[in-house]
Amino acid sequence: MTKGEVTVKTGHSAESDVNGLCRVPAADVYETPDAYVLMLDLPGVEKDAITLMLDKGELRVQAKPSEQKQTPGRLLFSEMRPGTFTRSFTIGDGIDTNSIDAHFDKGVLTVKLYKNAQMKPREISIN
Amino acid sequence: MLMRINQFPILSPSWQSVLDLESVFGAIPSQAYASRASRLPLMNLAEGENESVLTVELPGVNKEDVKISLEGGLLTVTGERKAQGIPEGARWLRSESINGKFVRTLELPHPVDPKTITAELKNGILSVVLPKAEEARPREITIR
Repeated sequence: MTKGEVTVKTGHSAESDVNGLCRVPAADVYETPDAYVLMLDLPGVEKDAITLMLDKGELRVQAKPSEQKQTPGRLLFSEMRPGTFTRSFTIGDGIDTNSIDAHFDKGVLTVKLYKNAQMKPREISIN
Repeated sequence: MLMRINQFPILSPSWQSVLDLESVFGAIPSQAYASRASRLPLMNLAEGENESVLTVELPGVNKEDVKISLEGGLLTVTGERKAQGIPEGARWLRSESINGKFVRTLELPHPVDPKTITAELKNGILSVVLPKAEEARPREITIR
């Protein structure tokens, strides 16, 4: 793993336990010549309920699913795990932290982290 | 006095028995195989007095790619999460989300008039409202 890459943490951290139940969302990450793109599955979450925090080289995502519209009654079966989606990523020095794009669509959060100019591949002209 | 009339016993969701069949017979219907290979989307089923609500986690799935059908008391949700395309020259560093086709079938705990079913896909959650057929609703019996 070279300096500047985005590293996915296991997702289980001490502070998430303080907040009660937590769920680790599935993460996809790909790298392009000029950016890293993270995608997180956050089903049942409203855009406004997502917190994206960048702190000392760590990008932390927290998202609380809204209460499901359910008829009062009994739950015949329940497979979905309750809890707040929580996951952290380590952001290397090669990321331009001033230009991070995020958008949320169909329950999937996409975060685009651009590389610093010196991390981007560039062609060297031969004199 | 309100009496609850319900001649249909609560049956366990039939996907459970589909899974059991898979393990017993090995040979599995192609649809069931697809759902198994791509891991089943998680669902909740809640029953209220006049309706049941099924919720299914389907992040990244387009509305057009989901189908719901009801046949003989069995509700089937089929669909596909299309694989995420990445730009040319990009490379995957991690891929945890599950793509591909899925099928889930469950036996409804009460009769439902198919025309009354409504469904919505929002923020990656499919909600299917299943109003009980008239004969399955609780009703008051007049004492003569």
